[in-house]
Amino acid sequence: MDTDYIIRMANQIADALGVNPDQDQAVAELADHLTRFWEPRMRSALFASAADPGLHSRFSPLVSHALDRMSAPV
Amino acid sequence: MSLPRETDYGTPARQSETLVTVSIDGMEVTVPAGTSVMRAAQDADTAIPKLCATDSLEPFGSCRLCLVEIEGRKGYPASCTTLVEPGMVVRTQTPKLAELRRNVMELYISDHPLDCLTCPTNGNCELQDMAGVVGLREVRYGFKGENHFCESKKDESNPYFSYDPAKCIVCNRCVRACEETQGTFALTISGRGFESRVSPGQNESFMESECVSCGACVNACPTATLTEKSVIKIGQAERSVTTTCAYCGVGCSFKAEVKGNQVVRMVPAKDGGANQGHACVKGRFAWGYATHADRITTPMIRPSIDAPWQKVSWDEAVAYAAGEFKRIQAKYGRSAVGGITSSRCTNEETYLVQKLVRTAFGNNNVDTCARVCHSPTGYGLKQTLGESAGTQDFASVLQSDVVMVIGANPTDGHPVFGSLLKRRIREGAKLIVVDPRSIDLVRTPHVAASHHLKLMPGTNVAMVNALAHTIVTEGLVAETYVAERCEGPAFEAWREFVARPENSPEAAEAITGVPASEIRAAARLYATAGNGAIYYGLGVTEHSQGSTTVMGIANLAMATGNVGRPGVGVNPLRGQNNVQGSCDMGSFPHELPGYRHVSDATTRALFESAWNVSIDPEPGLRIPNMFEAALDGSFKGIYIQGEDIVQSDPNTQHVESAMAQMECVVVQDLFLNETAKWAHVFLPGSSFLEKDGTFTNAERRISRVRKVMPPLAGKADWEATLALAAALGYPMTYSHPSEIMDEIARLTPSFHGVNYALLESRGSIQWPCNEAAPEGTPTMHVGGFIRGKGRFMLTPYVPTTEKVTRRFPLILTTGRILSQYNVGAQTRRTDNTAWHAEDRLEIHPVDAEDRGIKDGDWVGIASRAGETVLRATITERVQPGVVYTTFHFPESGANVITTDNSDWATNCPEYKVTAVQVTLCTQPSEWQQRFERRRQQQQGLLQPAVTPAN
Repeated sequence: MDTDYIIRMANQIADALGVNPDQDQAVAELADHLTRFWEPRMRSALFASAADPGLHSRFSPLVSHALDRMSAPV
Repeated sequence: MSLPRETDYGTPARQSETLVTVSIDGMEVTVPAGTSVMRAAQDADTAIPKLCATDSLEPFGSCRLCLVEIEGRKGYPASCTTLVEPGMVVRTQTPKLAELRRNVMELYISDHPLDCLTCPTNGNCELQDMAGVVGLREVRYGFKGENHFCESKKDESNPYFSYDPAKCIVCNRCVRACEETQGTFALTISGRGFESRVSPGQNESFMESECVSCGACVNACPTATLTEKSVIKIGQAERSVTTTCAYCGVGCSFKAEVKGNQVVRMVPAKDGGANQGHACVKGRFAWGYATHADRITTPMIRPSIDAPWQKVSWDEAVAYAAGEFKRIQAKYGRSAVGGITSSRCTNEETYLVQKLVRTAFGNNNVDTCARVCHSPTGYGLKQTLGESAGTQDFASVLQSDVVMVIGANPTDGHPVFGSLLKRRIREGAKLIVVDPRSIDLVRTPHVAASHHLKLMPGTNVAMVNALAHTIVTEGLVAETYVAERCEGPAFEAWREFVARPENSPEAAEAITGVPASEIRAAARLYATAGNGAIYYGLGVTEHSQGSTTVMGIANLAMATGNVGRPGVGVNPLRGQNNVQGSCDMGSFPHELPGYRHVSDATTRALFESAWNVSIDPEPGLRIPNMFEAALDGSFKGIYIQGEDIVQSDPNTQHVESAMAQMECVVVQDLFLNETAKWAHVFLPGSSFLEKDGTFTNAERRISRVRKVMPPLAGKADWEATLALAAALGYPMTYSHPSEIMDEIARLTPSFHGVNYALLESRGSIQWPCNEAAPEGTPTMHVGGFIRGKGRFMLTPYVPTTEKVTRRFPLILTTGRILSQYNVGAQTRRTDNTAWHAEDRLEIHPVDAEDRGIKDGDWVGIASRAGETVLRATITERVQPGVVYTTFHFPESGANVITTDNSDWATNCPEYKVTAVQVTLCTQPSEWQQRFERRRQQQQGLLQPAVTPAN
């Protein structure tokens, strides 16, 4: 999966859910959204991108926190 | 012999709790107060002769044929305009009345051509009938006096119907139908006395006039004055089959009148639940595509997309497709293939395709065209109200006091509902239009919007938040309703959020371009006028924040107490006829039928037990994700039923690149569409006239589709899917679509009560239909929300990343037109091209002048995604800075320009916002030149398969 495509979409979801004043809940909702709506190879691509130090700065902090709560698809 | 006619009660039914009993020819009959004597008589099976009266129109009282005698009254009142009164004693048959009626008929007939034997409506003519009913035996005046026999020539300008003024009796039914039923006011009676004539516009032809060719006038005409050209050409039908239109989400019921296997005409069903006897130019007339010469009726295969098509048997085609899918899965993995269901196919057919993907393919890679239109509706309404569907029936609008139309163009996209809405506005309801363009509803005869919030594309969320801000800060919240029916903490968080200054109308003014005072006034009107209803369309959903706007709309409705009763609600106007149904049937990659997530073990177990397979608990790929996966080499095969993704999906060149990477594309369609040009297997599809099944319209109404003629290719679409499933090693045994519906009902709680016998007896039914609602559910969320408590959602405005710049200074937004439908595969193959033969670019005069563009000039439209060339139409319908086009013709390349930006929650493409530049140009774009070369190449590859052998 194209890295730009994956990161852009994840950040977009974070922008929409990040308005929640309860940031812990926002992170949980983001993780839930990615799990419920993203096919495993998309999530794998997201995890792979997040593991790339060169791409780290492109991630919304909310996405990074959400990934911490998720497990990579097997 | 003509078909039996439905009973015509002469005047419309009235609703009243007060009942009135009258005596008609000695028979007592009890009817609601306000009923006409004519209708009361018909209730007692007494048909009073009539010509100007029909029960779809208000009484007019001009023909004087329906005279009756009423005890205690002088003279002979017209029974159509005389209302029943308690104790009234009416006589409909007396020697005097017979004499009067004969005299009236004598006058009519003295000025009517007596060519009945060669008249196209011979045997189906009310004038002819009435002459017989009143016993007319002679015309004392002769036929040599002044008359209209050699009346000015016929108007044949409309491709679908003929106007023969010689046969007109000036009953006004056509004029009234145009006004009351359609609401266009295109017809009038010109001249006075003997010179009176039906006239479109100011003595224009029908095609030159404002006529929208809905056919209401033809339907209302009691003679052969306005007659379908198909009837003139073919003759009258032998049988009639009630079925459901395959165009927009209104889902009109029609009587397909047929001779042999040839459709003679489509007549809107008077008892149609969605349309109540009305129609539009598409459903009424544009059905000829079903037998168009371009239909491909033989399966075909080819080893590569540059190889000639080879005609094969059904068995060979499905065996080849199945073999390829198996090969791909063996080589690339189980998830390397998927399918797309069609909103133009029946519920049963979409159910089968998703079942095939989940069983025979063993994954959840199934999606549907709702992905690119109303997927945000499914998401947004599920989050807030608890169900992925609109809340009302169409008739609900007749009880609305204020209607807000957001990002929808009902008079073009959903014309029959548009007419109903206009009727309610003429009756006095207020209208708010939220749209970047001046759509017809903003100002049309006898209809004017109280507020037109002409916002910039892409700013819906800011607008919805500003409306909410006004409601919250000006004390207009329905506090009791919210307290009783909604989640308290979520509401309080939302109240605090929308009350922030950044969500005020004043802040929104800078974003949307709409004056704050106008936004405030519209919000006050919506919140305080009484029953407030919101109708919305793709102008809401097809944005990067489509889901946010849907949730914002639901927030507005809940905050004002406008959900859960007739006249209110949140109403998505669905694009295609079965978008609702295809979503209901589990076409999304994360949901099984009935909107239940694939990760839900209980639901999965239910389907696993019924289908005898193990279902993947992970969501599958959505259509845009399929393209990405194809480009990265992990998605290689697809089964596409009845969708043209290459034309309809955004960023065409990106889609084409993805399609080129596939190793097996199976397209099942009526025509060799754009997607089929990238296919390896073509399975001939069947039109809605060739199969049985059901469609579910935008109001959740499930209606029967009935086979009118045999499938031209030998198989209905559902049968083709069965064949493919069997070849894949997963045989499904259904002998009729009713058995598929029985399975759907068994496995889907909201459909538990649905079966073909019920549909047969009731005509149609709105889901949920189950033990709790055995007669269906016209209005949802009555007394409480499906999810329990309504949930307010926070809706931050996040501007789209598709920004205007000096290089791309204009915003392109796309849409639809009345006479064409979606990618145009059907309507382009009908005479509807008489109204719209090409897609054009609408541009404001100021923007045109800046660029030296004149009306009709060829202009290049360039975006970050691509470039195309169209002719310009200069119009103030669009605002400065905004241009607009449609996507009905593939060569237009409208989607070459649109980008792959999409809704954050659902990936619904952002068709409505593309930054572009427009310049004068002289030749087609590079893509268009490539398109033409490819079209010729593919047509050449098709020839060996479609040319008959000598």
